[in-house]
Amino acid sequence: MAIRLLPIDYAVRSLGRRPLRTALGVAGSVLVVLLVTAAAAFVRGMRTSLAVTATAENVILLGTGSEESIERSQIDPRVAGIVEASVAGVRSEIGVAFVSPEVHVALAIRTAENEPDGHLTVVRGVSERAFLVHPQVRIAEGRAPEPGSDEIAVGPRVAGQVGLDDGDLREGSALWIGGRAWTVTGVLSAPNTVMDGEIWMPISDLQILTRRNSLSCVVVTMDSIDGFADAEAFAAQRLDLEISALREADYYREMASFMAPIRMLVVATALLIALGGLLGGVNTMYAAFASRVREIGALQVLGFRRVAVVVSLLQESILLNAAGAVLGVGAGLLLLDGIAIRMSMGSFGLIVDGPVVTLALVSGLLLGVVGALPPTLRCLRLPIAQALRS
Amino acid sequence: MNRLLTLLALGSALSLAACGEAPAETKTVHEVAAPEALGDANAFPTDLFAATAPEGAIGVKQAIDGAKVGQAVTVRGVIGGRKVAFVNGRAIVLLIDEAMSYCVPEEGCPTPWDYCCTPKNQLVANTLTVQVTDDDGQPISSSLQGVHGLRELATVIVEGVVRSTEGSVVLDATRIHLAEDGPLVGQR
Repeated sequence: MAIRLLPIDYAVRSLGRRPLRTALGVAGSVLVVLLVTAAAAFVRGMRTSLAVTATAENVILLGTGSEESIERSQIDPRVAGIVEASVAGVRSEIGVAFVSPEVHVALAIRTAENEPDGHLTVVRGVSERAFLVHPQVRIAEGRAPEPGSDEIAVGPRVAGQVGLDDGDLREGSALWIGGRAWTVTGVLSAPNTVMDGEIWMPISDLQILTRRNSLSCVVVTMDSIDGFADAEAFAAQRLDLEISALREADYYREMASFMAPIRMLVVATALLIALGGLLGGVNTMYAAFASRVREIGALQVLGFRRVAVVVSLLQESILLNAAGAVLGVGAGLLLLDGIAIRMSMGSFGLIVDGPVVTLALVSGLLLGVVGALPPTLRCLRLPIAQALRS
Repeated sequence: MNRLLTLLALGSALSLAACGEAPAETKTVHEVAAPEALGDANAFPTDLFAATAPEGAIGVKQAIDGAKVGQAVTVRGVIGGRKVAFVNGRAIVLLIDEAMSYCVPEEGCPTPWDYCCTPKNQLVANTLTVQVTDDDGQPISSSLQGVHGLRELATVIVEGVVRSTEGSVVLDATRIHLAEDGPLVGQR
C-alpha cells in the first residue's frame, strides 16, 4: 500500500512559521558551506597551480642534489650553450632553440624605499627564450623588461604578496629590490600557475644583483615527451657539469606532495569545524523538534504514518540547508575565488570552480539530512498519547 | 542524545585519524629491493655480457686519470655515483671507483648509491660513464637496469674504448661482466 506523504508546502510553511529559527539555521549552514568551499578551493588552487605550471615536454637541468628546490641549485653558466650544441631532439623554431637559462631566487621586495621589512617573493631571471619554454606565460600589459635598465615584469598576484591591493601594480609602478627602485614595464599573465606570483627580470640583471655568475637551471623543451631520455643521457655523459635532468612535471609533482601535510591540515580543520557545525545543528534540531512534539503527534492521529512525518521533517531540514548551501557557495564565489595565498616563497590562487561548488552543495545537503535524522527519529519514538499531552 | 553526540564525536575522531593520504613513501635504505628489469636484454648484442671476467682490469680512478680518446681499457667499478645511476631508456650507466664508500642509512641519503655523503668534486673525479652503442655510435634505446643482473651497487668489469674525455670520461663498452651482485644494504 502506498504511503501518504505530507505535501512539500507543509515543510515550506513550517519554515516560514518560525522565521528567526529558520534564519539562524540558514546562517549556520552558510558558515559551514563557506568553510567547506574555502578548504576545497585551497586544495584545488594548490594542486592546480603546481600541475598547470609544468609543460609536458619540458626538462629542467639543475644541480645534482638540488632536485627538490631550484632555488638551491647552482650550475655552470655554460650549460645552456652546451645543451643547445650537444643534445639531440631540442625543439627549435626559425633557428631559435627552446633552451632557457634561468636564475630563481627569493628576494625581499619592498613597496617603498623606507619600508622596514620586505616581502619574500620569487624573482626569476630570464632571457627572451623563457617565453618559448613557458608558453603559459605572456605579457598581458606593457612589454618585457630590458637588461641594464632596472626594469621588471610582475605576475598579477605579486601585488597581494607585497601588501598592495590587487591591480595596484601596473605599468609604471615601482618596487624596491636590493636597495633600489625597479620599474614595472609589464604585467604577466599565467593563470593558475606559480608564475602568476613571480617577478621576472633580465637574467644578467639578477645575476649582478645577487653577485653570482651561476644559473639555477636550464629549462629545455624537447620535441616530444620521449626526448627526456636524451636530456638525461646528456647529464650522465657530462658528469663534470654536475647536473641532473628532471621532467618539469615531475619536479612540480614532487613539490605538490611536499605540500601534502599542509593540505591535510586544511582539510582536517575544515572537517572538524564542519563536524562542529553538524553537532550544533543536531542540537538545534532537537530543540526545534522538541517544541513540535504535539504537532507531530497530531499528524499521526490524522493518519500520517511515521515515515511520512520523517520525510516531511527531512524536507524542512534539506530546504533550510540547501538555501544555506546556495548562499554559502555564492559568497564563496564572490569573496574567495582568485584570492592569493602566500606560501614561504611564491603564492597560488584559490579556485572556486565546478568540482568545488559541487562538493560544497553536497556538503550542505548532507548536513540537512544527517542533522535532522537523529532528532526526528527521537521525536517519533514517543507514544502518540504522550506526544499529544506534552 | 548525549550518548549519540559522544558516539558521533568518537567516530569522527577515529575516521579523521584513519583517513587521509598515505604518508610520503619513506623507504629506509634497507627496504630497497632489487628492481625488476627495466631494460630489454634482447636489445643488446648477444656477446656483450661475458660469463668470465676480462683480464687486466684497472680501477675507475686510474682509468679516468690516464684516459685518452680511442684507448682500449678494462675497468672494474661499482654501479652508482648518482641517484639515477641507470639512464632510463638509454644504455648508459655510471661506474664509481670501488675505493669510494657508499653512504650508510644513518647518513640520510635518499639512496645508498647516490653517495650524497661524499663531496661532489670527489664523486666527479671517481666516476665515469659507460654506454653501449649501436652501429651508428648512439646509445642503444634500452636501459641496462636489471639486464643480466645489473643493478645499483653491483661490481662490474667493463671492457671498452674511451669515447670522450671532454668534461668527463665516457666509455663505449664492448663487454660487461658482472663480478659481484649488489650487496644487501647494511651487510657490507
